[in-house]
Amino acid sequence: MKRFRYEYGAGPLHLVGSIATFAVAGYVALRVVDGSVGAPIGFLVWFVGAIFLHDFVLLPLYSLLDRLPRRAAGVRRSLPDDERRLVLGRREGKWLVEPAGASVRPRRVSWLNHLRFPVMVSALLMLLFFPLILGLAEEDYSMVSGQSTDGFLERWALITAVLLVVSAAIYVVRRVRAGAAGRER
Amino acid sequence: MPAARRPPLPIPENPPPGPFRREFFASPLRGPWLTSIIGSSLLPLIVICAVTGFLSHAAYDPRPAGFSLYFFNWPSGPTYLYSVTQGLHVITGLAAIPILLAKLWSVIPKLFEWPPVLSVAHGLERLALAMLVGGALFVFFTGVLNIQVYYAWSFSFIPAHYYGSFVFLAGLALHLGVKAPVIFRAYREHGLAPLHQRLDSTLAESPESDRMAAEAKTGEETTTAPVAPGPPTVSRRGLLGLVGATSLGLAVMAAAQVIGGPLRPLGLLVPRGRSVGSGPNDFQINKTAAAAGVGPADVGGDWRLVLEGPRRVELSRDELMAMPQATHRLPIACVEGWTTVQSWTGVPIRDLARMAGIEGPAQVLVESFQKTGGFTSTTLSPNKVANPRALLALRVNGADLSLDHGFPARIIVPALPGVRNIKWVGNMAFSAPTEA
Repeated sequence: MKRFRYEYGAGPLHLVGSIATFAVAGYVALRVVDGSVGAPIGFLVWFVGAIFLHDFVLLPLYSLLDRLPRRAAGVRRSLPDDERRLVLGRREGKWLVEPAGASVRPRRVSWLNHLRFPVMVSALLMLLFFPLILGLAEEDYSMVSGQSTDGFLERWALITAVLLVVSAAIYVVRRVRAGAAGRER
Repeated sequence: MPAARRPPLPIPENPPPGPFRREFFASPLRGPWLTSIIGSSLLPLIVICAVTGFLSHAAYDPRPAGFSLYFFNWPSGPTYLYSVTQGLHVITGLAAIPILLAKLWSVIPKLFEWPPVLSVAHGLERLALAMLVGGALFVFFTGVLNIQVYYAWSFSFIPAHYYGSFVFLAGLALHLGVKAPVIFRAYREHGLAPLHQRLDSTLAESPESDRMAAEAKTGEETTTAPVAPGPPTVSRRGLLGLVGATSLGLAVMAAAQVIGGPLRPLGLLVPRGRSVGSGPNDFQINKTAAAAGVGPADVGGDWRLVLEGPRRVELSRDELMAMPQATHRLPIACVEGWTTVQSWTGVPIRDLARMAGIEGPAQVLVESFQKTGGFTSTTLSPNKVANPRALLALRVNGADLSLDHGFPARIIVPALPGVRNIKWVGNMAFSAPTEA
């Protein structure tokens, strides 16, 4: 058993589970190759393409785009050493490092999330419903349903506007309340 | 102390620059706890989505080429059975997407972990992860595009989505087995305490800096917790709140097109969230006459319904209207996850079975005279023929069927997917039940 763990890197159950999982993948591969899904190359392209599009296009893109408002809001890239907090409250407290002066830092309400949240939601809605919003599905959609994709762009724009306005309003309220609390001290 | 594992392949110890270095990922929110809580929220939605997905597969004709595995006969009731199962499928599917994206964000550092392969087990795990991530993105993405009737691919959606789900779920099962100890430890150590942290008190999880000690304790090499955390810009509960709210919004929109009625307009961005009008035939169409190649010339006075069986009978529309009619409120429940409920009037199918000469249980092959489109026929098993609410509908909401809704006659059967409620019926061939 120890030898097995040494050579393989985990217990035998791990190997059994892995084999079962790859057996399923093998069955699906057979179905793809024998034409059951219609277009084997297409299936493979979409499958691999999905991973590529998300991990190497979408995620880096939104991460990079997020840096712009963060920098504008004055968020530093990393903490200086004396401010580094390491741990989420380990029970034995061994790793807990509290930054100096943290408790007297005044509470600032930043506009950052009030911009990020509506933009992220709006972008996700576009990502999900772009065939209707941008009219790309017009041909098949209208053939099937008898309705047009006209109007979806306006709906998405309206939702985006409402999200931004509501977020801005909440920001104003939070600033006013924080200001009042600050004056009371 | 003997080494716990065979030393890794001769890969350079120092990772290449960029995301392969752990300092690259600075968000202080990442860590096993965040990933565990996101995963725990995602799992019930995936389970419901998967189960209802397989049920949908069973509800379709169980014997087209290539499908198998189902040994039970789809029940003939309750009436809203498929509405509920397929509605839940699309609702949970859409609602899962924001949570899925958050999950992938929380574990992205693992994509670039260095060294890339530590052992055979580790390498196999990473391959299985490709199945999990690829499978998940594939089924969710194809599902979302399919409900918008945007067929951007060359493969056949139904088998591709079906087999894709096998890859996804198999990868998921292994993943859950491997990560269960990590998840339990995260909850044991922290409970739900991080949810109480406001932005100012948001702390990062500890990265295990000593590799061997980490591996001995956690059973895995590195976690997603940052080694050089930046300052938090949002608390964990802020992030989870955003994800949850987005998920809920999508679920509400999807539910609106299932429940319909006064709630339908809440489906602002879903395909069937708009009212079609107020007339008796103004409700959602699941395939227009134009799409099926049916025109006014095909449905003139010389149309006859042909009943085949021990007796062959031809009936005109007037003759059908003269027979005893039944009226029932029945749904059209589409695989795209929308439902519309209307009041249908017509001849019960079991009356037609008797007319064709079958007194006891009967099954029927219903064929449409439409020229194009898939699903131009369906076989109804005896339990469905016997259901008194299964109709050959001639009128809806008190008016004649419109051409788009299947004039001169269509079947409307409880509990079945919309596509099996054949429109523009030409032929009904009754027979005694055969073995499945």
